[in-house]
Amino acid sequence: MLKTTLSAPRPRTGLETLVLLLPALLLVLAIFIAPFLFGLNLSLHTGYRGEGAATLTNYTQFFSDPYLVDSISITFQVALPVTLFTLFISVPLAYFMRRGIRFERGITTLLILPLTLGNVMVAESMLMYFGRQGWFNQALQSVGLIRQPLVLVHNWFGVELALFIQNFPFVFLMILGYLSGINPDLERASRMLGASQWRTFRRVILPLALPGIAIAFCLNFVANFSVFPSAVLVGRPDDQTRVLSVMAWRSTYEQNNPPLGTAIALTMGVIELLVVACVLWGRSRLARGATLGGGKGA
Amino acid sequence: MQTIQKLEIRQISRVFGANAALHEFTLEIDGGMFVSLLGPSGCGKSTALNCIAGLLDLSAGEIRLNGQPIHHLSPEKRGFGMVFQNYALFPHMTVTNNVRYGLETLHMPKSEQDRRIGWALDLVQLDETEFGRRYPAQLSGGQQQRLALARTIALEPGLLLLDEPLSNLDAKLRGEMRLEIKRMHQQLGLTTLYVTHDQSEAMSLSDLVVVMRKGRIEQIGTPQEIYNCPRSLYVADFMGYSNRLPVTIQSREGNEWQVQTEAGVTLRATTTFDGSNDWQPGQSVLACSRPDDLTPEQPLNRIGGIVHLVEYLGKTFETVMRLTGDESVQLLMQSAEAPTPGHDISAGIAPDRLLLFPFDPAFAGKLQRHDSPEARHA
Repeated sequence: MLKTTLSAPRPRTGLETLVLLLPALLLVLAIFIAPFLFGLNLSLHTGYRGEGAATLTNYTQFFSDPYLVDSISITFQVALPVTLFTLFISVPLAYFMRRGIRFERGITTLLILPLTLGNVMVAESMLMYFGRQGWFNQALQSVGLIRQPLVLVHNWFGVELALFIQNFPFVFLMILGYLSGINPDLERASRMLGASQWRTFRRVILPLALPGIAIAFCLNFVANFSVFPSAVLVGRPDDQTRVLSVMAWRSTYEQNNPPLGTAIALTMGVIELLVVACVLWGRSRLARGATLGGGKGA
Repeated sequence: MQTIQKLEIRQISRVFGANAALHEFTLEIDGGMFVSLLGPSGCGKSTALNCIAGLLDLSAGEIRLNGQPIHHLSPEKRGFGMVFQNYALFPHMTVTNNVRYGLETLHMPKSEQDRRIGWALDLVQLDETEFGRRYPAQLSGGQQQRLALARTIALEPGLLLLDEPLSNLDAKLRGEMRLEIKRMHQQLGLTTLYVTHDQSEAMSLSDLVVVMRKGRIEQIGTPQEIYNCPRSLYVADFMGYSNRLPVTIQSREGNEWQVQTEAGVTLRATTTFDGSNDWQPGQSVLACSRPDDLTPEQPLNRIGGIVHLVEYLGKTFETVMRLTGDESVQLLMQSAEAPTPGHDISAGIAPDRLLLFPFDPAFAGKLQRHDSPEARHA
């Protein structure tokens, strides 16, 4: 017994490794790679089912039609502000809650609630609450703060609001996890070295949380960039919130051109990947030591 | 930084919920002194340190530096330096920048910063050309400890606070760093407050030792006073007085008492505190001693017993002996020669090394040995 436990583990053969990997590999192949290749193939053909020889027609059509190309910048205008705003709210809030606060459980539950509701529910509730005759406007009017009802839905703002409500809890909890994971003695040490609370935040907390904030940004940005239900339900999908996913949907189901729709969807994916790659590249440059020192809690 | 002529800590308390982690802690420190707070975990020593540092607010009391109250100041305004148990080095900064971090808050020219960084790293013997550009995670435990010291000392703090700085190091390194700290204190004369649970560290480093128990000060004294004249069973226990012999008072002559063991042996013993004057003949007390004071070579105060266990400690042998007439009582003694288990043996103890304490059932009878050899030898 002793001998077997002490002997070095036998190196695995290639075949064994493959067999062990197989279930995961199959899953990835079936639900990600295969549909992706199918879509890629479809986008390189024309006609409803994608007949004929491979061609870049869909991509050239997309990039040469100003109406279609414009939706890229529209999508950025929808996704970027709300992503940054969500981070801007989450980081300070998480900072003040990092050591735990009173009623923390209740507050956290409240924050997580929107996650459980789903996009459509949030959007529909927003229509009721923030609409022209909704409670929000009625309340503001009744106390005399405004005369005319504010237009808060069926425009760009409505989508921003919906995306914020949906994604804030997720971003907040992620960043809270990162901030509360930073050794509290580092803060104390900084104070003992003569640094104010603000300087401590700027020079110690923020740099150490930056890798986490970057990841939160990426995930949130991707979610916001591919927004669809909110853009349709509480936005103006024909104008201000004519995002890429709306265009892809329209091409596929209104114009019966699935290959073009797929080309748009893939373009959207590539743009997301580019943004994520940029952020992660910047993160690896900025936070060299922060990731290095994770281990010993030093 | 403001140097310390006198730091007065007056009756400071810190309450967490219903518990007083620190109760009316009072201490005066003169400039240049090395003071240790000694006690087991949970005795309030770290709470005291954090209160003095300003990292914890006081529930009551006041702290004065050179006559000026400072307890309302935030930690960065007190000009104290602190080394943390886990070092708390900034993982995203190089060694040099870890030291620079504090200097930057002093608004000095960069050349002066560089000079101080070089000086501090030199002092802790961390080569700047070799280690300056490394990150803390690329240093060994001992080097991290040195960096933590350098970072704090570079600021020449008025008061240096050390929170169990050696407890994360292995035994050999701990001894080395202890000497380093001693050397630095002698070289710089920094007023130092040192928190530890290790009595040998406290003894070897300090000018003054504060023994703490359950948030209160149990005894303050020089290492010699604490070691030779513990004023309570608790301190005696901490200082390795592991022999506790239940005895009865017979008579008194000044500070020296005549007592009798349950087996009828008469011994002479002393007290080291004042509250014992009302002991009457017939009263039960505990006579305590350190194992190294109970030896066969000592002609006075002989006690006989049977050798039970013998343990070799390096220079001496330590023997568990069972008392003749009352085998439930075991004593530890030390001798140069190895006794034979099962044989009779007798050992003596100088009357001034046999200390009397009020009887306390929590400490009576049982032989409580300190597990680490270090604790026994100190």
